[in-house]
Amino acid sequence: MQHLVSAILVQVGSVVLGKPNEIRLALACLLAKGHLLIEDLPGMGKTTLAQVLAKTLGLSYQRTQFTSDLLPADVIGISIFNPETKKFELHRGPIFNQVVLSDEINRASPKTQSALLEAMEEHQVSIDGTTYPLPQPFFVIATQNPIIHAGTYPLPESQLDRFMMRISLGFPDIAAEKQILQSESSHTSYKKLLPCVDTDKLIAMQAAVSQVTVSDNIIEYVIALNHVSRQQGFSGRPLSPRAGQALVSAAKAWAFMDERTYLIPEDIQAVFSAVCQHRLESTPVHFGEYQQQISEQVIGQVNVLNPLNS
Amino acid sequence: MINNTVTNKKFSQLPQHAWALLVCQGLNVSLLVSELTSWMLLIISVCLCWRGLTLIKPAIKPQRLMILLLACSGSIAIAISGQELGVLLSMLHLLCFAYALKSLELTTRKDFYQIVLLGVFILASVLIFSQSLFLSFFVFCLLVLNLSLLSAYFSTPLPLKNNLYQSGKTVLQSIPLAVVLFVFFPRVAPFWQVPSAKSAQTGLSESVTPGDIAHLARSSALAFRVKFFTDIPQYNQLYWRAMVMDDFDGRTWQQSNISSVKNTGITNTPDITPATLIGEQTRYQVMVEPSYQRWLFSLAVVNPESLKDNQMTIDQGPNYTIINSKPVSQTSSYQISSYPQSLLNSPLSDHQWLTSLRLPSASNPKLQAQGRQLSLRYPDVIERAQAILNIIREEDFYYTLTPPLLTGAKSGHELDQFFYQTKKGFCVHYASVFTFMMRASGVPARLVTGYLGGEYNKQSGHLSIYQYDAHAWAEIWIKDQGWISVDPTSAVNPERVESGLSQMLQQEALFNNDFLNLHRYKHLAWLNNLRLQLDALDYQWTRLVLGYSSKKQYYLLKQWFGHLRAWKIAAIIGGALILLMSVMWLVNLKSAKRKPQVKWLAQYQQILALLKAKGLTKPDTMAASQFSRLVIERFPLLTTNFIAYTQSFEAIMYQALTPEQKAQCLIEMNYYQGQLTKQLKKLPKKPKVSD
Repeated sequence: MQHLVSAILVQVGSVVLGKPNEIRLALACLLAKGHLLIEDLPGMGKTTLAQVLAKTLGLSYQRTQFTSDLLPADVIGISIFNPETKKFELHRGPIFNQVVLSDEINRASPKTQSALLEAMEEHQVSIDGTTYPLPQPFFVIATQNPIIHAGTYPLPESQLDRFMMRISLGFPDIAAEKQILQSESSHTSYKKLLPCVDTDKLIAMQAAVSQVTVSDNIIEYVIALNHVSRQQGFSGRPLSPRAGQALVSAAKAWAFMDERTYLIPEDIQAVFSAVCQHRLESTPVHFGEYQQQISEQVIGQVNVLNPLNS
Repeated sequence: MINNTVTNKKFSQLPQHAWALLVCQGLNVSLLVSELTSWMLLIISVCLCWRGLTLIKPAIKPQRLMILLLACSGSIAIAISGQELGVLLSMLHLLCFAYALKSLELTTRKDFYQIVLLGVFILASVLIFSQSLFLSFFVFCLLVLNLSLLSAYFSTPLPLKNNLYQSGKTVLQSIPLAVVLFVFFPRVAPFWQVPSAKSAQTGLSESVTPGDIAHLARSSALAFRVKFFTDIPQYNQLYWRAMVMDDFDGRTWQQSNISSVKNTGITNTPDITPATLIGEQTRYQVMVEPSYQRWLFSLAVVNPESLKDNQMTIDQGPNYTIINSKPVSQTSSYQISSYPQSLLNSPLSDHQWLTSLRLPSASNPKLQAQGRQLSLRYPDVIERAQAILNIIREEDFYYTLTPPLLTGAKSGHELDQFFYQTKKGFCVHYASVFTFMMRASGVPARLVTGYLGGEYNKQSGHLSIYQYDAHAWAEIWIKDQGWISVDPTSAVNPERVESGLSQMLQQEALFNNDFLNLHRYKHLAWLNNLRLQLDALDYQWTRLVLGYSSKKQYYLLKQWFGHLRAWKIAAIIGGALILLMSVMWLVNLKSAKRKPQVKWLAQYQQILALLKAKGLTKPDTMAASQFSRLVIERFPLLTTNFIAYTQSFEAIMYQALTPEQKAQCLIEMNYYQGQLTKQLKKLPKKPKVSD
C-alpha cells in the first residue's frame, strides 16, 4: 500500500511546489480520518493544496467560499416545497461531498461555522427533523486567513479542537517560486490530474493506519507531553485527552507512511507541532502575539528514553 | 525413555549447547585425571570424542546394542580391577564411566537431567581427594558452568553468557545459606563413611638410601604448616622430627621396630620412657597435608600430655616421634607443645644398644677402619664427633643436590665411594657417613629424617614447610646426656642449616623444567610477594574452613550461645534462615520498586556514552531515529551498523514483540553493539563542531 502513498505524494508535490513536508502532514491527517485546517496569507496555495488532495484521492468534492453573509442552509442544504409533487424536497448543500473545501472559514459568521463543525463531529446532518448521514470517507479541509486580518471571526477554541491538524504553508523558497511563476496557472494544471486511489483503497489504507501498534513506552511519552502542558506556569493552554488521541492517530498515519507497523517517538515529534500548536496557543490578548515556539517548548521538556521521570 | 511426549523435548534441538555440554563434561572429568587409571581415561576420551563426532555427523550415532555392550564390558572391567582399586576408586571409576557413556545417549530431557546431575556429583567427588582453596574455587566455577547449561535448556535461546550470569548469581545467592549451615549445622557422625582413598604415599619414605631425599628437594609441594603460639624458635632450631632410623643394612636405613608399629599400632612399647621435661615450652599447631602416611612432625621433645587434646588420635611413636592412628588422607591439624631444652635422655635398653651399634661387617671397610682409628685417637665421644665434622669441613666436600650416582663400587660400598672418591652429596650422604663412622667407632648413633626450617609468612605469621625442606641428620648417644642431635650438613653447607637452600642451589637443581612454579622466581620480589600472599590465603582457608571440626564447632557455639541444646541449634539455624530470606526479600522488594533500568536501555546509554566521548552528545529530547541521522552525518563510517542498531533498539522499545522475537531482537542488538563499540573505540576523537 505504501506505493500508493508515494504516488499521492508525488502527484500533489508536482502541483504544490516546494512543500513536501506540509503535503505529507496533510495526507497523514486525512489517513488518520482527521479534518485539516490550513492557515496562511491569501495566495499561498492553500486552496490549491486542498483541491489537489481531493482530486488525487479520487473523492467527490465541492468548494464553498465562506463569507460573512453565508447561512447554515447554504452549507448543509435546504428543503424546498415542490409544487408538482406537493412535497418538500431536500436540496443537498456542499456538505454532502466526501471532501468539503471551506475556503476562508473565519470569514463566515459563528452560526454558519458551528453548523459546519457539528457536521464534522457527528458525520451526519439534520434538516427539518430528518437525519442524513454524510458520505464516507468525509473530510473537511478548511482554510483561514490569519486572525489579524480584517473581517474575520476567529474560531473559538472548542471548534479549533475539532481540527486534527492545523498547518501553514509559508512562503516558497526561491527555486520553487521560480517554478511557480514559470508554469501555467495552477487552475489549469490540477484539472488535468487523475485520481491515484479509489474510495475502497483509501478506506483500506485508513484501516491499515489504525492497525499500527502503540507500545506502552509511546503512550508514556504522549502522557508526558500532555503533562508538560498542564503544569503550573506553562504559558499555553493545557492539552486535552482528545489532543492526545489526535496526536497518536496522526502519528500512526505518519508511521504508516514511513512503512512501519509500530510507532516510534519520532513519529510523535514529527506531527506534534501540526497537531498541537493550535490547541496550545492561548488566544492573543493583542493582535499579533503569536506563540510560535510553544510546541517546541513542550517537546523540549520531555526525555525521550525516560519520559515519565524527566 | 522411548515415550517422546511433549515434555521429553529433543535435546538435539540445541546443538550449540550440546557442544558446551561436551566441553563441560571434559572439564569435569579432567579434575579427576590423577585418580583415574589410564585405561579408564582412554575409554572416557573415546566416548567424548565419539559424542563430538556425532554432533558433526549425526549419522555415526552408535547403536543401542553397541552402547549396552560397551556398558557391560566396562562394568566388568571395573569389577575385575576393583580389588586393586579399592572401594572408593572403583565407585569413582563407575561414576565417570557412566558419565562419559551417557553422552552417547542424549536424546530426551530426562537424559539431559541425568547428565547434569552426574556432572555435579563428579564435582563433589573431586573434593574427596583435595580441598585446597584453589581447587575448591575451580570446582565452584565448574559448578556454575554445569548449572548454566541446565538453565540454558529452559530459557529462550540466548547466548550462553547470559545463562552463566544467571546461574552464577543464583549460586552466589546460595552462599550465605551454605555458610550458615556450615557453621551451625551439627556435624553428625556419618552413618556411612567415605572410604579413605588409597593413594600413593608422598613426602618422606620409611626407608632412606643415599640419594633419596634429592627427589623431594625438587618438589615445591607443601608438606605442612605450623603456627606458633609462643615465640618462634631460630631457623636452625627448627628440626622437625618425623622418623628415626636405627637399622642399617649397608645400603638402606630404616626403623628397627617398624614392623611392630605397622601391624599393631601399639605404641607403648617398653622402650619408650618419658623424657624429663625441662625449660620453656613451645606451643604450636601443625596442619599437615595428606601424605597417606602415619608419621607426624614435631620438635623434640613433645609433651605426651599435649597429644591428648586433639581431634586426631595421636600416639607416641618410638624414639620420641609421634604417629597418627591411621594414614593422613586429608588436611588435618593438631596442637602440641614441646620442650626444646629437654634431653632425650631415656636409658638405652640392651636391645637398642645393639641395634644402634650394628653395622654389616662387610660394608664400607674403609670407613669402618677410619672409625676404629678415630676411637683410638679421640677417647672423648664429643671430640670424636667433632673430628669427623672437621674432616668434612676441611676436605673438599661439596654440597650439591645433583651428586654423581654411587654405583661404581660393589654393593654396600657406596659410602666409601662417596667419602673417598666423589665427595659430592647432600644431607643424607653426610648424615649417613657420620652415623656410620660413629657406629664404627663404638658410639650408638642413628639417622633422623624430617624437615628443617620453614618459610615464615609475615601476612599470617605461620611457617610453611615444603617438600624441598626435607632433611636428614644424625643423633649420637652420650652417657648421662642421652641422644644428642648432630647435623653434619652444617659442616659442609652452613647456609642450609641457617636459612635454607640457597638460591643458587635451587636454580641449579630444582624445578628445572617447571617454569610455572612460583618457587622458581623467589628472586623476583613482586612474584615472591604474590606467592606469599597466596600462601597466606591458603593457610587461612586450611585453618578456618578445613580445620573447622566438630570439636571447634562445639566450643565456638558454646562460647556464643552458652550451654548447647538441640532446640537452641534448631532455633539458631531457623532464625538465620528467616533472617537471610527476609534480607533477600527486602532487597528484591526494593529493586522491584525502583523502575528497573531495562537492559537494552542501559546498553543504548553505553553507546551514547561512547559517542559523547567522541564529541557527539544526544539531547535527551531527541528521538533515537533522529539521532541516528546526526551520527551518520558526523561519522559516515558507522552508517550501516548504527542504522541497524537503532532499528533493533527501537523495535525492542516500541514494537509489540513476543518474548522470542524480543530475544532475537536483543541478540541482533548485542551484535551491532559489539560492532559499534569496536568501531567507536578506533575512531579518532573529533573536536566538537561549533555552530
